[in-house]
Amino acid sequence: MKLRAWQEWGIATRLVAIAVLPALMMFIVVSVALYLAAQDEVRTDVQERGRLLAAALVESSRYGVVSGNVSYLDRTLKGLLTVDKSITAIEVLDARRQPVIVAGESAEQPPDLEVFERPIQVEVLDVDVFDSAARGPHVSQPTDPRIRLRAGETAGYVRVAMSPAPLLEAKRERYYLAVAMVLFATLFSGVAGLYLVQWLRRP
Amino acid sequence: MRADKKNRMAPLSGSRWMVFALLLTWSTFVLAQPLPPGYELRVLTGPDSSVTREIVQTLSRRYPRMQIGSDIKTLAARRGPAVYVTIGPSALEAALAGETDRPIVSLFTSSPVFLGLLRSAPRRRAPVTAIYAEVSPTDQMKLIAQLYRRRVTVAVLLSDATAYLEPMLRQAAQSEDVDVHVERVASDDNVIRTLARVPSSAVLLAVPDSRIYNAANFRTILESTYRRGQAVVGFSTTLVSAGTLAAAYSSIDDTIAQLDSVLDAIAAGHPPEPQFPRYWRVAINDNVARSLNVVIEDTVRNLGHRPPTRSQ
Repeated sequence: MKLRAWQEWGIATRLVAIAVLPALMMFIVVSVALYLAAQDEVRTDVQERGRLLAAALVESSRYGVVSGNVSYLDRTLKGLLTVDKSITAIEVLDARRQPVIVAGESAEQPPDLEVFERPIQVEVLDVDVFDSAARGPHVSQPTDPRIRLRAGETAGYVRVAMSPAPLLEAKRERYYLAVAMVLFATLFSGVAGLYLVQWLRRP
Repeated sequence: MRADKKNRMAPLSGSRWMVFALLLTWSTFVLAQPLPPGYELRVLTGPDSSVTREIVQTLSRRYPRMQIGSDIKTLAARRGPAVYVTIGPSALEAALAGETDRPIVSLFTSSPVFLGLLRSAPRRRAPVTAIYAEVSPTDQMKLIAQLYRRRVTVAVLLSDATAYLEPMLRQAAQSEDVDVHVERVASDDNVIRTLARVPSSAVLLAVPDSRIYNAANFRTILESTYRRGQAVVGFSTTLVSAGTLAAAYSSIDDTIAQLDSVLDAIAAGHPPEPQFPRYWRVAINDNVARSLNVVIEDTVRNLGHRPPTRSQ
């Protein structure tokens, strides 16, 4: 039935359809692809930033957790929350997972949040401090004065909660612009089809 | 000129080789220190390591006829009068447990570890003395006074294990015209938080006390002091490499050079009291000095007391 309807179309209608339908299909496909790509990009971006931020905060919060001096850390975390809207909360926990410092809302709550956690490991300087456990001779000037670092015990944890919403918001404008451009291309194709029809009708 | 060079480079003839070998043998015997008459020097080592081998090499250059072993029973099986020299804490512990009645000289063991082992050892029949691994607080204070050349406050953290150092520190501070602030660290104290309680002193003098300074917290201690603009003066070149401003230290040669006088005193029937190294040098971390705006003068680098050059 539909096929028959297509056969009954005049040449002008057919030409317009040939010009517009692929462009319309392209508009739909490109719009969906752009939307999915934007979503995926935001998710990847949030994960990369979350992991990076947690790793960086492990370094900067190690001293605060070990020493109990967290005043400088409080300022740093609050500063980060002000600068980056996608960070909803940062928690620094001690080895027993008790909060040492919490900035922003608790990382436990909304389901759309992505939470990144990293342990704060104490890095131990492999130096001879003349203790009885070393058992080797206590030498004030060893032949090899190189200092090595080794991983020590876990002093605490850093937990960063990030929301994709602010990033999606930022992406939305760009998405609308891209869709508008594709729509413009579709309309241009339709107009071009109509112009061709007029041209074919000329004697 | 060329002829002269050629002459110098000429290979030694057979008779010259003989003379050279004789001179070398003669110099070895002249340089080697005679043992106390009738005494055999028995060197007890701990676990094998490159440091132990280096110490043994230095000792054997000075005392070619010494007996070396890592088993106290094997050494104790030898007859005749002897003096035991122990290398490191584990060798000292073994010698003390061996219940020998011969004098023991502990080398390369820090004073807190030496005193701790002595306290926990079974009843002793032999005199035990030591040349400690770390330089005396007096010499450390000398270094600090020379580093700053003004009246500074020296903060020292001490636990029960190092409380015996306090009178020495106070006396040294008085003689070097510096102020000393001693902060006691209890067994359940957090060292980093105790350090934060110390008033804004210019220098922290670290003593070898594993209750306070250990591998696990040393980095945090350095970070904490650096944040407060405090310099740390340590007790070894390793700590200087790790980030302390300076250290007064005694090298292996310096310690062994002092052993002669200890052995002489034992031979004379007067075993000396355990003592800090007599000979010492200074190590400086120039990066830390620059960061803390401490100007290091050459007199500071050359500070110390070198052993006398041995006559040939």
